[in-house]
Amino acid sequence: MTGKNIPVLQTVGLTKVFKDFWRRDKVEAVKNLNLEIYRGEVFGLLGPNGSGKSTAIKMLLGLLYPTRGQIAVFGRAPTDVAIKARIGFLPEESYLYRFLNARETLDYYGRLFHLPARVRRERIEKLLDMVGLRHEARRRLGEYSKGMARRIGLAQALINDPDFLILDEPTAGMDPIGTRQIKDLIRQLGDRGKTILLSSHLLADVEDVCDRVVILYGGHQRAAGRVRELLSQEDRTQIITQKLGPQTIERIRDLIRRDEAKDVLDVSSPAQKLETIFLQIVEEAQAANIATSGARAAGATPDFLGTGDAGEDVVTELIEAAQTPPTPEPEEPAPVVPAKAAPADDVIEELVAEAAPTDPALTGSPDEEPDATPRKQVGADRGVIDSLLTDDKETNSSD
Amino acid sequence: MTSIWAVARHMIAEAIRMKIALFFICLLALLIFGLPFVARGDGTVSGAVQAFMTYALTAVSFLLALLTLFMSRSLSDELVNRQILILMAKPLPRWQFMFGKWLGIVVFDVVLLVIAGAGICGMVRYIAASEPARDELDRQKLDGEVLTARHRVEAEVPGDMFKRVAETEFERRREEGLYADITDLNPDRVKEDLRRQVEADWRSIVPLTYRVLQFDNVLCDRRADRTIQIRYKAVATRSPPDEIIRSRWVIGDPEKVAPVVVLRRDVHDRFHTFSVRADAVAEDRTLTIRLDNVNPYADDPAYPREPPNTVYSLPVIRLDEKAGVEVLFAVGTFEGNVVRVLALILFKLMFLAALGLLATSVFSFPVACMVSLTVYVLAGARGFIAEALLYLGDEGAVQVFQIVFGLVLRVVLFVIPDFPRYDAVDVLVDGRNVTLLWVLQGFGRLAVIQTGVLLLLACLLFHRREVSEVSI
Repeated sequence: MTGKNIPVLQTVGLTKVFKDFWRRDKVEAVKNLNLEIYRGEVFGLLGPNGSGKSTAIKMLLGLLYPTRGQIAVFGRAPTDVAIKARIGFLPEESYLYRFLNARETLDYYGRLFHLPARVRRERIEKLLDMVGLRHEARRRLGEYSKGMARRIGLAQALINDPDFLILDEPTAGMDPIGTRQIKDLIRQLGDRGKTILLSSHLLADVEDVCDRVVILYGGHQRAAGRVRELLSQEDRTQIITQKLGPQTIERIRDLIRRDEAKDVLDVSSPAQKLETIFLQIVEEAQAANIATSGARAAGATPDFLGTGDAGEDVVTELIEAAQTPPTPEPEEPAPVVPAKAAPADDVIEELVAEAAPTDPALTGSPDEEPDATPRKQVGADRGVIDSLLTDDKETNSSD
Repeated sequence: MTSIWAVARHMIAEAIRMKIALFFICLLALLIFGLPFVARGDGTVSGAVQAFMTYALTAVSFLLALLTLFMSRSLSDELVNRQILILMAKPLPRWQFMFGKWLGIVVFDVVLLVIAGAGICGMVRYIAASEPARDELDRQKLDGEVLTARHRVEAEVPGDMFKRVAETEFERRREEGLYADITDLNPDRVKEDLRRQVEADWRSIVPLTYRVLQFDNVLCDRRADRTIQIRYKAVATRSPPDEIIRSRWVIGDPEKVAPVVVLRRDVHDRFHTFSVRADAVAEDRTLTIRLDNVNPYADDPAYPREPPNTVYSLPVIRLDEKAGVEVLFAVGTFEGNVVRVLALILFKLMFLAALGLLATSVFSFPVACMVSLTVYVLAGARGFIAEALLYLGDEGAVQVFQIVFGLVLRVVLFVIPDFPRYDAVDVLVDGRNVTLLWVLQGFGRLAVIQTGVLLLLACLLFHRREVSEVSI
C-alpha cells in the first residue's frame, strides 16, 4: 500500500463493552465497527442518541480503551501522543474552563501544542474573528451562552491547524446562523484537504456536508456508503423549473403518460426553507449594526488552516477554480433552466440531459470507486492495521 | 517542559480564581495581622513574640495543608466536568499533565508561603518595636533568645568511662565472690545494670561536690564583647523546701582562659538561661564548666535565710538526660531561621499536593478528600501511633485482633511520613537554629523520595485510567 492510500483512520472490529462495579458486562456500546477514512474526506458518523457515536470517537482519541478490535490513526495507536498534534477535537459539549476567558482558553490549548507565542497570538485573533467572538474575548466562558461556548470549542479544535478534525455533534446548541457557519466551515476545510469526522444525529448536518456516512444503531453499523447514493431515489425523477402555467403542466403530464406510461405523482411550488428566511433577517440586522452580546457575523476561515503540505496553495487554488459543489446547497435557489415556450418535448429532453449523474470523481472518496449499493459496508483490511501497529510499536512512545 | 509549565500556569490561574483559595488567603491574612492583638503571651514582649510566632506559623502550616489538599479538587473537577476530554486529545502526555498540576499547586504554595513568611517577619518586628519591654532582661531575652538562631552544644557524656568503671566494678565483685552462688549469671546484664548505676551517680551532684562538664566544637565568635548562653533545667532529686536550687558555676578552663564565676538561685524544675562572655571558650573551641553544688549565698547578709553549706541542708542536683546543661551561641539570623522553617513546611505541602492528586486520580473528590485528610492526621500523629504500638498487648481472647491491628499500625508507620520530625516551629520560637542539615534531610526524604513515590503512583494510575466516564 502506498503512503497516499494509507487511511487517516482505520478501525477493525472495534468493540467497547462497559462493565459494572463487579466487572460484569453491562452495555455493549460499540460492536464490531469497521471504518476507513481517507485524507480529504468529510465522513459522517450518524445515529440516534445512545447509538455509540461518542464512545467510538473517544476510543479513536485514546480517551476510552477498546474492549476488542484495533484502531490506527495516521497509522499509529490512538494512545500515541505524537499523532494528537495532528488532530483537532470538538467534544459533544463544550467542556471548557468557566474561569478563563476566550483568549486565555485558546492560549492554554495553543501552549499544549508548543506553538510559539507569536503564532499563538495570530491564530487566536484569527479564530476569534472566525467564530465572531472577538468582541467578547475578555468575558469569562462561564458567562457565555451555550452556542458561544460551542464556538470557542470549535476554535480550540482548530488552534493547531489539524490534519484530522473530529467534530462530535458540532451544531448542538447552535442557532441557525452558527449551524450554517459550521457547515460552511466544514465544507471549506474539506476543500482545503482536511480530513473530517463528523458525528451527529441531525440528519441535515450530515447530509449537507458529508461525502460518506456510517449509520449506527445500538452500537452496530447498520449502513455505510456515499451520501448521494444513500439518498438518491433511483425510481423517481424530479424536475424543477420556473413557475409553469396549468396548461403546460397538463401537457407535460400527457407527454409523460404517453411516452413513459407513467403518472406524475406530485406537482407543487417548492417552499422556501425557514433557515433561508431566518438567515436573511439576521444578515439584515447585522448589516444595520444592531447591538448584540452574542456572536456576531463570523469572519473568514483563517488562512493558517491549510493542509500543511507543500504545494497546498496551488492545490487550493485549483480546487477553487474548478470547484463544483460536491452536494447541492438546498438553501440556494434551484438551478434555473431556460424556459422555452415550445415545443414541450424539447424542454423535457433538455431537463433530462441536465439531470445526468454527476461525475463520481467530484464527490467520491479519493481512492475508491463509489459503492455499488447503498448498504454496502466499507471493507477493512485487518492485516494492514496489524502491520501498521506492529511497526509502530517499535518506534512510538506512548503517553 | 513547555506542556508541564502550561498546565502549571493553568493550575495557578485556577487556584487564584478559586473561591476556597480566596477564603484561605483571607483567613491567613486575618490571622497574621490580627493575632498580635490577641496573642499576648506571658505579658512580656518576648512572650508576645513567641506566642504570635507559634500560633501564626502553626496556622499557616495547617491552613496551607488544607488548601493544598483542596486544590487537588482541580483534577477531580476536570474529570467530572470532562474538560479532561479536550486536554487528553492534545499532545500532552499524562505524566506531564499530572506533574504540571503538582507543580502548579506547589508554586502557588511557595507564593503564599513567601507572603505569609514576610508578613510574619514584619509583624514580629512590629511587635518587638511597638510593645514596651517589661524590663531590660525582657528586652535581652527577646534579642538574645528569641529573635536569633542559636546553635546548641550539649555536654559530652563520658559513656566510655561509665562502661569502663562498670566492668572494673564487675570484675572486682566477681573476684570477691559476690556472684559465686548465682548459677545463671548473665555478665552482660549485670554490667549494664552497673553502667546505669555509674551514670546515675555521675548525673547526681551531691551537696558540697561538683561536676565538670566538657563541651567540644563551641564554634562561636569568641570576641569579648560577644556572649554565649548556658541553658539548663534546675532539677533536684527531691524538691527543696523553698523550691530554690542554689549553685555556683565556673565557666571556662582556668588553664586556658580566665574563667567566669556565676552564682545562681533558680526556681526548681524550670529551664533557666544565663549569658557569659564568649571569651570563656578556649581557643581550641572547647568549653569547660564546673558546676558546684554549694550555696554561694550562705554567708551573704543580703540573703539572711539561706540554708548553710552542709550535706543535709542542700538538695542533690540532678543532670537530666534530656535536659542537662547546654551551651548556645548565635550562628544566624532570625529571618534566615524563618526561611528554613518555611522550607520544612513547604516540603510537607509538596507531599500533600502529590497525595491529593494521587487520591483524586483514583477516587471522587469527597472520598479523595477523606483519604488525604486521614493521611495528614496520621502523619501528624505518627509519634503517637509508634508509642501505641509499644503498648499493644498480645494476650487474651482478642489476640488475633491485636496482631492484625499491630500489623496495620506497622504498615501505616512505614507508609506515612513523620511530620512532627520536620516541625521546626518550636525550635524557631525558642531561638534555636534550624540547621541546614535538617532542611536537607526533609528535602531528601519528604520532598524527593516520599513525594516522588506518590507522584509516580499517581502518574501510573492516571495513565491506566479511562478518562471518559461511561457515556453511550
